Parts: sequence; C-alpha cells; structure tokens
Amino acid sequence: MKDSTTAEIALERLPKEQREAWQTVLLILADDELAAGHRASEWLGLAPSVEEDIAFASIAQDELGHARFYYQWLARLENTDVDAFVFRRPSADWRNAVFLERVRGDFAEAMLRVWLYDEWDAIRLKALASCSFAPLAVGAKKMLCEEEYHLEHARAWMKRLASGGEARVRLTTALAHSFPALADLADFGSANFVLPELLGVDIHSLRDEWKKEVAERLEALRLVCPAWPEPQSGGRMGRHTEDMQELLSTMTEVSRWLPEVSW
Amino acid sequence: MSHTSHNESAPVTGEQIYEVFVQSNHQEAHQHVGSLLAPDDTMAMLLARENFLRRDKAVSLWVVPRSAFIVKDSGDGAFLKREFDRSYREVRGYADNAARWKAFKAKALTLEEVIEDVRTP
Repeated sequence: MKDSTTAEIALERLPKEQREAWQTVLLILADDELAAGHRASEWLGLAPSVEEDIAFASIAQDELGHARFYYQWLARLENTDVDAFVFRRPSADWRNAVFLERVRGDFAEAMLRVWLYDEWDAIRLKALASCSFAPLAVGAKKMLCEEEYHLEHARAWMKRLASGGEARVRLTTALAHSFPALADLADFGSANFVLPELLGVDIHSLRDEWKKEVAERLEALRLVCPAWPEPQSGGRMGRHTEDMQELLSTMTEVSRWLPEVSW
Repeated sequence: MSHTSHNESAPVTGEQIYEVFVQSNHQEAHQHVGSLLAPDDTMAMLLARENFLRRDKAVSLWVVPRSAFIVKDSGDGAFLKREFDRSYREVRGYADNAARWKAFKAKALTLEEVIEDVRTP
C-alpha cells in the first residue's frame, strides 16, 4: 500500500545529515507556531468584541498546542524537555519568521498577520501531511482539521475589515506595513535544499502557491497586493529583530525568576 | 434583517444576536449555552465554536438568530399568567405516596391501636 513518500521512517535511526534536516524543519514549524500563538495571545482582553476576544485567544491556544507537538518530537530527538526549547534559548537559536515576532500593531494588522500566516501554514501542512516522517504526517493531518477553521475565521475577518470605513483604511495601512516583512515566512532556511527529499516538493512551488492564494484573495476584496519582498532566510537562520528579544523577555519572565517553577 | 448590500466595499453595519445550543452527546437534547453578537451566520458559527467548545466536546452545535424565535413573555398580556388556582392539576399526591408509606410503616402501634385491631371482626 505505502509508496516511498508515506513509508514510515524512524527519525532516531536516520543518517545524521537527514535527521538534522528534519530537526531544522521541526524547529521552524514549532517556533513559527509559538511566536504566532504568543503574539495572538497578547490580544486577550483587547479584541474588538468579547466574542472575538475569546475566539482569538482560543485560536492562539491551538497554535501553542501545535508548537508543543513539534517541540515534543524535538525534545525526544535531542533528549531534553519542551521547556528547554521555549524558556531557555537565546534569540539567535530561534528559527521562527521575523514576520511572526513583530510587536502588536492594531487589530487589522494582527488579523492580517494571522491570515497571511494561516494561508502559508495550510499549504505547508498539506505537504507535511504526506511526508515520510509518519508521526509528523499524522500530526499535520490533525492540525489541518483545526487550521481549516482558523483559516475560515481569518478569511471572514479579512472580508469584514475590507468592507469599508475605518477598517478598510487600517487594513490597507497594515498591508503596506506587513508585506516588506514577509521575506522569510515562506522559507525553510538551510532545509530549503533538502525539501524535495523530505516533503516531495520544492520551496519555490510552495512559495508560489501561497503567493497566488494571497494575491487572488486580496484581489477578490479589491485590495491592492503590495510588492513581494525578495525571499531571504532571516529568522530561519537565527537573525531576529529586537521584537524577538521583547517577546522572549516577556515569555520567559516567570521561568527566569523561578527556574524550577512547576506550571 | 433589513436591507443587506452585496457591495463588498460597503461598510458592515448589522450585527445581530444569535442564541447558541450545544448537544454534548447523541442521547442528550441540545442545551442553550448562551448568546453572542455576530455579523453573519458563518461568523456566528465560528465564534460559537471558539467561545463555547473550547474545552467541552460536542456532537452538534446550533446557532439561531434570536429574531427567528417566536416569543411570548410575561409582558405579553395574560398569556403566561397563572392567577386561578391550578393546584388540583398537580401530581403531588403520587409523588408523596412513597413517603407516606414509609411514615406509616415506621410508626409503632400504641396499645390502644392493638386492642382496637383485635376487637375489629
């Protein structure tokens, strides 16, 4: 039944080079979900309605759950624990996209960020769902079930924000402000080259699929799609902005104060 | 709902109240769990999912625009009033039976009652 792309592989027993490539991919996925989830969670108590407040925070919690799934695999491979990844890593060791670490703007910018990221994440997860690392493929399928509703939620909000008035003005500003920061989102850093081997698809086709989806949806909302920046590996190589320092210092505050605290 | 525009650029105005019902398993009826404000049916369903099913499992979720309910409340004339005595319709008598039997059986007979019982043919 199984073809070469779905055959189960034991990650621990892979040649060092391949195992490291998977670890790079897992860390990128985990750090993206954690940074996105953390920034979204900052909206708790601030979203424009009490309904959206709970919904946005609930979706943020889903992202943290996805991050936890990836970190558990990494922890197993590196014989450490999940907290080591979240609370005890300097900024340069994080592999999330710079776009996801940026400090909170207004709600239009937050929703735009969630939407752009969710569109990319869905494309990336579809590729992962048929990868050769079976536990990851299974996890990706489960995550896609949740992401379907995240995406529906974000798309509904995009439509609503684009519908006119102050919301549309804010969304247009957010688009101009966000696009230049998208250089490293659709990227797997040093794993870009081995992506065809791992996922059976290359980074260019994944990236193009995402850009097409985004451009088409913006056009349907009669919004001008800003120029795409040249792809770069930025955050995927550990090159972050001061915003990442701020994120980490807030997130690790309690664990630094009481390293042995039980959560 | 009043006039709705199909122009995507028109500002969104109308939000309405939706009532939310959750069926937690196939043996239970849907239970009203709360209400929310939403701009349309799709968003109402998504918000209901994230607001009311964050922890609990469900097999079915209903969102219903409050305007879809046909309502009578205590302000509507005599419709819900209960002014005349209706206690004769209540079934308290049946419900009390078990307690009455228990009390009766628990009661110790007095000497007079035993004599009365023996005298009765």
